[in-house]
Amino acid sequence: MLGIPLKYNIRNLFVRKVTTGLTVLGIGLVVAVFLCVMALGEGLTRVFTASGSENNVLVLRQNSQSELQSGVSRDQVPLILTLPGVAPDADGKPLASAELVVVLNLEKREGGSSNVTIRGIGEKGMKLRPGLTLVQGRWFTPGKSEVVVSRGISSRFKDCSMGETIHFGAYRWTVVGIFDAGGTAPDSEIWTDVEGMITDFKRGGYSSVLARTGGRAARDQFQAGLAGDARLALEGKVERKYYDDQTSTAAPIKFLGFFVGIVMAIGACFGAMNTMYAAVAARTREIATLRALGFSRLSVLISFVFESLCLALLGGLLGCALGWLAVKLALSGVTGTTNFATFSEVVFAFRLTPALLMTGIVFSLVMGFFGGLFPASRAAFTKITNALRQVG
Amino acid sequence: MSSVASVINSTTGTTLIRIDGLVKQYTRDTQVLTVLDNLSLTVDEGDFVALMGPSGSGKTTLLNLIAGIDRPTSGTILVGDQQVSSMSEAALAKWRSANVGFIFQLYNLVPVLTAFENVELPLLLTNLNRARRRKQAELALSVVGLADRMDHYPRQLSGGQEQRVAIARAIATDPKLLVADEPTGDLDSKNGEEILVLMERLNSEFKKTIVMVTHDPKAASRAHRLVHLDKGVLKEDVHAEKGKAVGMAAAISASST
Amino acid sequence: MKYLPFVFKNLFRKKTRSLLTLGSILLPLFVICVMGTLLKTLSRDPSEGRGMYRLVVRHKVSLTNFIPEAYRERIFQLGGIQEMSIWCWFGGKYVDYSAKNQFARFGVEPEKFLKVFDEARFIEGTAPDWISDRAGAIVGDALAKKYGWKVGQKITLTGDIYPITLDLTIRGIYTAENASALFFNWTYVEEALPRVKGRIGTFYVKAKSAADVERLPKQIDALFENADPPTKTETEKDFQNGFVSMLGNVKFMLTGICTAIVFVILLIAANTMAMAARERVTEIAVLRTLGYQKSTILGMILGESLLLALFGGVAGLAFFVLTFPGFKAWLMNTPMAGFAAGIKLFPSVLAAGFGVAVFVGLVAGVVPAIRSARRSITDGLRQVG
Repeated sequence: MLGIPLKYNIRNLFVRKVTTGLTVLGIGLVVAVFLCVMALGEGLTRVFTASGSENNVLVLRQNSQSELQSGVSRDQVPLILTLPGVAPDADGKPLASAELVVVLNLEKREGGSSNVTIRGIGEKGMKLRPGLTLVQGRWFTPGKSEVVVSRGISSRFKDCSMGETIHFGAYRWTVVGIFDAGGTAPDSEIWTDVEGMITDFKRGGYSSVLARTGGRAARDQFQAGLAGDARLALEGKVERKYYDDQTSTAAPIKFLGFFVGIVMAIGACFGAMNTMYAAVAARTREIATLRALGFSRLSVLISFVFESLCLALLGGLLGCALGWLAVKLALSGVTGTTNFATFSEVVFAFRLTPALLMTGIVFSLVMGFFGGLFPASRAAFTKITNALRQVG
Repeated sequence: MSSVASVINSTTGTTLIRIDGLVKQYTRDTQVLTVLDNLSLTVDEGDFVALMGPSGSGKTTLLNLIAGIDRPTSGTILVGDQQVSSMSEAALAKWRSANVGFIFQLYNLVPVLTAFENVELPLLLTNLNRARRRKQAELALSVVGLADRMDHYPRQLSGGQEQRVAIARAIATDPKLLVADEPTGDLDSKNGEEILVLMERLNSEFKKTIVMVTHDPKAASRAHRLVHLDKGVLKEDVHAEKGKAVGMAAAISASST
Repeated sequence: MKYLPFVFKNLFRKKTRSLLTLGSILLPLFVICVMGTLLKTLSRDPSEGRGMYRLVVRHKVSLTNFIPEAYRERIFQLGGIQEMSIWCWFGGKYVDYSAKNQFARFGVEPEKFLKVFDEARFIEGTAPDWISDRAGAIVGDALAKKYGWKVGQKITLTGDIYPITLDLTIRGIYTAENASALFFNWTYVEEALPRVKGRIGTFYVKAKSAADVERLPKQIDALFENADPPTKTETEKDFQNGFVSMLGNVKFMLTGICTAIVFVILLIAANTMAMAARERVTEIAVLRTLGYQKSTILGMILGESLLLALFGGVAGLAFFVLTFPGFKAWLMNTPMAGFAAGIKLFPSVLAAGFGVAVFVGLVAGVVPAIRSARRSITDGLRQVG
């Protein structure tokens, strides 16, 4: 079948500079907004999906949704650690850490306040989380009211810089180090020694126990052992799954992104349709001439749908560029929201992944396709004789 | 009665248009193009002048200058007691609405408005109230013989009818001067003939001064006076009795093709 | 005004285009209204229309820490207090943890609570019914509607913070500004879990006068400054703003989205007006020959643009208002449920939407209007089509 050269459509787009420009800009903005909101959701999701290890098991009180709601008493800890499946460390002791999690209401640098997780860890706590690096200062010394703060929290909250003191009523902690956890959950936390924290907060026990297991079989064995002891009333969750379950924190943002994106896309699609109808109307004679030259209806239809797709693709590319620029320039720092599962701040960065950019392009092409289909069919069904007679 | 009728008695036989030393140049990039070169012309009130000449001779430019929609490079144009060439843009617009009626080759009716509404357009600029506007527009449409087509849209009318509506629009405010640019250019001979008869009638019965650009010798033959324009210069200025102009026009037309 | 019919006819000259443009103004405006409503809900003053703030007393470290119930007596002694009630977040799960089954559940002291939360009105059941049933609960009408609850119905809440399962009976349905919570008698939890007794989440305090509202937070916090634990006392408004602040920069995000949307509408409307003006070049030149002033042409095109935006805008607002109840109900079953509960139609949001339409109408028309008015008549007449 005879096809109309694509050059014809592309040149036509550039001839109508103003209309093409306005439409491209409109589609571009819609795509950019969609991408920014989704990048926000993606960044937040990533915190949870990248956190935790498959081999670590987090021991919580039964029915607890988070460490914050959980409680493990001091005398339960030895019972847990002697269950089969727990991997030993080089020194022969179990590779596990009993931890206490408390949230503190701290003032943000930008004003307002939010809850920040402060985690007391045992001596093996660091070994259980190998992804952590110290970027400034040193680790805390147990028993000295010292803390290390994640880079994200340090940049977002007052009194959390290196050398400063976080104080709260009678509590005082000196920041002796800043760490980075590569965008995972600890990046939203402040860490200190668990025993000192129990004293400070007058707690009777721990929140949870994190234990390393030696592989899949050992993990299942350990979890079964926990579940099998009714007196403990504890359960073990794979650490990775524990964080995965919290990804619902990102659901409202993603929902908002889709809601705004889809409604706006329909609006922008109407705009594209307008442009394409005008393009068809302005070229009625041209279309009739093409038809008279022997191009089929289908070629005309495809030609105009293609033109619309090009128009939308330009918008999509512009939108990706705008979104990328926005994320790189204006939204490059870390931001935070509250994870209502743990009732505390999650620090994260916008993440505009290649997959998201592709979604943006596909999104624009869908707009272009529907925006072009009806005008193109009007073009395809132009009556040759009438159109040739028409002036202008 | 109507103001259309009142004009009948106001004919004085004096000069309506006086053009002196008119020059019109266009600048395209760095090239200066002289369209009208030191041209002078007078048109009496009540006259019917045909402007002829080959394409690009400046006929339409001269017509536009007389009607005050274009500005001369130098020279003066006096229409009635108004120095058209030196009026402000806003004053010109006001002056046009009361003193000039336009007739175009392609009628240029507004497609979304009915015949009546098209004729009413210039009347919206006057102080007349709705009822008076209606009366005036109806009168204009009845002069062109389309009172029964008032509520039709342009696409429902034939070309000849459309041009008659356009003429009704041109005379709606009862201007002294009518300018027409190829009024029969887009019509077949029968419809063209009807339009010319109508214009003759506007000239004789309603004493409208008419300046008409045309390249059609048959149309030109209806005029009282034939002016030939070539390369920006008025080469001939032939006073002709009605009917005599026919042969002359044909000769000119033949020589220019 | 006499040009209005002409402007109208121009507006609907290309019906498909006009309708598409209306649609592309209507939908974004709907989104703007939704965003605006969310923004407004988040920044709303809970005391609005009630004239009196309640105060919230909590542990200074955070809401997740408990304060002794014994503080009550000492707070009361400061004077100026009408009533105060325990107000404890229970959390837990209803059916499952999915978003559509999330709502606020608080343990309170029914008698005191009803004096503190005195704007609540029972639309079903009565206060004495609830007070006399230790396992009774009252629910907001928004919740009752969402789940189809009736008085007398049983609800099971499985605790997570508190390891206990509550079997509650609905004894009343109340209505108030934001009636989307469940309240039950805290004694139920205290009796089942003796270790909880005496340790509570927050106190809600109703002060007697505006002066007391001013004075009490400082005095209460000073009273416990060196106690263990120290307290933080805020007005209900500040308390709520604290939650909003915890969400992060939501206001910035919503405002950013709205701004971008206004631009999208602007581009689409401007495109329509540019196309309309371009197609009418000759016609506008003809009008000018008839004696129409530049200013009249300018006004007519601006007017057309304004009318277009107003039609789209008013349609968008009407669409929003008409679909609002259904939209809200739908939103209650999405991940946005937590935000949807408090939304309502705010006149200020509608006014802002109208303002956007006017703005878009004027700005979208400016360039085509000026270009049309300034084009020379002879150029315009030369143009074909």
